[in-house]
Amino acid sequence: MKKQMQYLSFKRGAIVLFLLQALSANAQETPKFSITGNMGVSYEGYSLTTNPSTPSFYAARKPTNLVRFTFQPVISFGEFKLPFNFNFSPMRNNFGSPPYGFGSLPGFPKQNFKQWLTNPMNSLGLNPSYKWVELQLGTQFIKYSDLSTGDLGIFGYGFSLKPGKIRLKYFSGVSQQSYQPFVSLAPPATFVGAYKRTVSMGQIGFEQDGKYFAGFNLVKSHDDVGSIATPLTGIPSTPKPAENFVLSFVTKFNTEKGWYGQTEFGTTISTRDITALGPNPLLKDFKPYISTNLSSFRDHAAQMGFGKKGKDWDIGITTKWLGAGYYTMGYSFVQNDRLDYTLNTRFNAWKKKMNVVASIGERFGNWSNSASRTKQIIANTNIFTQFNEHFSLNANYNNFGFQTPGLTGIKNVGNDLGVNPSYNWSSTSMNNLLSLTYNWSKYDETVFPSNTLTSNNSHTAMLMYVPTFFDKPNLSTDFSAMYFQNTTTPSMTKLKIYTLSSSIGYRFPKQNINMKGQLQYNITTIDPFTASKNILATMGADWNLSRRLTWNTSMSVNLFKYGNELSPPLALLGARYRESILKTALLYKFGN
Amino acid sequence: MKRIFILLVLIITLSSHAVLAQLTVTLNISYPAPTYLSDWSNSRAGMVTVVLNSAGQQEATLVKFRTQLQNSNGTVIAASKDATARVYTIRSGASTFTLDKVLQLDNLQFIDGSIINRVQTSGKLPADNYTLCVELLGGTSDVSLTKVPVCRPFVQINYQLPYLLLPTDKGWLDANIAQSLITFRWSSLVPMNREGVVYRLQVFEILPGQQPMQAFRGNQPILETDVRGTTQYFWRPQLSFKDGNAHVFIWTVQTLDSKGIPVPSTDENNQGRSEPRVFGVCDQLKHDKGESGADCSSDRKL
Repeated sequence: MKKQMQYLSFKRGAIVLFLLQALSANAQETPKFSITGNMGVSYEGYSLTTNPSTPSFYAARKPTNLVRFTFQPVISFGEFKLPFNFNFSPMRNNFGSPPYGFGSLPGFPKQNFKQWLTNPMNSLGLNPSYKWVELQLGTQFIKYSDLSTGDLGIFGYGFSLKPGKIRLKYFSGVSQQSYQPFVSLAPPATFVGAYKRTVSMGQIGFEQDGKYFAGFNLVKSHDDVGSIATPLTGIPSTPKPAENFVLSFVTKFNTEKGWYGQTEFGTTISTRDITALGPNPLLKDFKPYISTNLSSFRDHAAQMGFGKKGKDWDIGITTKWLGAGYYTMGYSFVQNDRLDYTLNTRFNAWKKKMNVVASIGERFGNWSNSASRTKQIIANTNIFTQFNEHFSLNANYNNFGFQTPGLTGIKNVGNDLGVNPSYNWSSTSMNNLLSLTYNWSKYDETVFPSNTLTSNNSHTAMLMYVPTFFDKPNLSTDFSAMYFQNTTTPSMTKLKIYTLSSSIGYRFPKQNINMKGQLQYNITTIDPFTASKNILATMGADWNLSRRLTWNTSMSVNLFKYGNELSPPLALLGARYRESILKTALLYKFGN
Repeated sequence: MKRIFILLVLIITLSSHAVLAQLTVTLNISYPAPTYLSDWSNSRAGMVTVVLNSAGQQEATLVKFRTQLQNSNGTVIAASKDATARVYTIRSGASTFTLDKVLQLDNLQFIDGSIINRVQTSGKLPADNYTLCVELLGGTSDVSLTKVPVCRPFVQINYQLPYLLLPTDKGWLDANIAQSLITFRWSSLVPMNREGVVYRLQVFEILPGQQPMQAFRGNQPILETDVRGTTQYFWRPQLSFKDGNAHVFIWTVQTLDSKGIPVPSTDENNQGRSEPRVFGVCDQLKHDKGESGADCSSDRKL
């Protein structure tokens, strides 16, 4: 009995010890403070000198000065995480968004703070999270799905909640700040302006990570009519303030047996001009989300993809249809009125020495109008074979054909074939790699306005040699020569390019410096003109100043001298320019 | 009583002939007609001019439009309703109206089911040749003030912007070749503009840490060149690609008409730019990896 009592007390003691140990182990796992990520500053300077300076024959292709700051640490404290995503610049160089490159016009207003904050160049985002709660603050690139929210940066606020299998998301912000129209007389230029655009989105769904998802997306975007005081109405004119509503239903799944798939069905109601009269006799309001007017239209879209993945293979099919009026402000560049499908496959063969990737598909444009429907075939194949440790061969073939119906139809057909054998061999002192690349490309196209069929035949050959010296492990170098020729028929115009290039790198282990340089020489001839020549020289160094701090610098100079292709005028005979690019960046890494 | 009635009818008939003789209607529609029916409100789409010659009289005259839309076969596909047409006031001299006042989208009854569907779903008429006929009615009497309707044919063209073909989307190029040459190809504008178009090729470098659309909207293009008469361009980048880093680019083609005006697209802010594509230039390609047949040894992704 006593022994039994002793046994029980021992057992209790063991349990208590075990619990204490477990608790202390837990105590060790409780909140740990850490910072990872990086921060830095980079500068890029560009200068261009042309000779002669007038008439103008070559434009600067980079801003004179570009300073960018990055601040991307992730602060963690247990399950609380605070990732920063700041990258910004005080400069304004927008071309693909307002002010469309007009920002440097004399007298053009400087960007105000709101414009700077929402300038696509700048991203200032914060995503604090604790367990299944995430706040989304500042600039966010939120993609709920392919047919709804989009790929633009939006400055605003929102959240993402993931309790259990429930998914609840919301975000609202500005994707485009307003710009007033600006007309310049000297030089003559017209900037049409842009309305302030606000986007709000939400998602509700169910998800089991890695297994399935099903949910609805809602997106409402609208332009602020009052954000432009005096819109331009002539030619060119200010785009009308628009409004857009998207509703889509998405499903995704992955099974343990390798099956995967996803579907999405979407509908959009778009108002091209908020100021247009209403109501629309053909399209009712969809309140409370959107009120329609005479400029409104509604259309649908669908996309599906299914496939199966094995250990060494993958096969799948995807298809996408966008109705003629399907439009989302988030994916504003996407071409609608189309149907496309693609069959993809990837597999390993021949004892995994061969890797094959292939796809074939068709794309139909103007889908809603069978009389003017365009048809495009796209096929790609890439086969890589590692025959043995010395020899490998890569071959690829791409084909696309584009045509429109009718006697005055357009026909563009491209065929590209490439082979790339590589061979390496070693001696006692060094290893040698020889790589040859040959590409043949044929491109037939209907040329306008003559409506004639033109054929382009291109050949590219490139030979590269890479020696590695065993007694100089810090030295790396390579040499390459390239020849390109394109012949256009029936004009029999020929373009030829010859390139010699060499690069060298050396690592100084004691100083923690990697030095690198490259020299490239090109001769280009365009029949019937004399050759133009250019030389490109680059020098750079990556210096690890400390375990966490790196300083990267490079300088490149490009000297280009034209033949007689620019003259007349006579002044441009033998014209030349010099471009210099200086890049320098300091990068600090947080954490280990 | 009968004499008085005949006299009244005679007076009314004579007065409407008088008005009829004083009115001239001119209808101008641009070529091509605006892509979206709602864009007919822009003055650049065309104008209707009504000239009232009332020989010194300053009285206001009430008028409204009777509109008919015919397809290329001459079949009426839409007509306005006289009873609910808007009433406008015109005075002596010329009065101008934007085309939306004549088209009367809010008062136009489409007859053809397929046309209704197209206007409902896209806000556009199907691409075709059409004729717009306009007749001026008395604002209160619905009596025709013009002898015959004024008709103008117009062409509806629904453009599809070029589709970017080469370099393939999210594909890597070998830096050894790309440092000398990168070939760009795209499909033509459909249908081709009879006056010719300019394709403005724009290539933007995606700087480290940037999202593709961030670079596209926020950067200065590293290449911006106008291409005419062909859908191919050989770019000699003259940039240092063999620096151990991967370089990523996003590119597009902006299609401009012969006057330099962007071809209309669904979003006017896009200014005729095609859906952009991304490609990368890699110093050390790995052909045995990646879903597209080649991947870059750099940590940058496409």
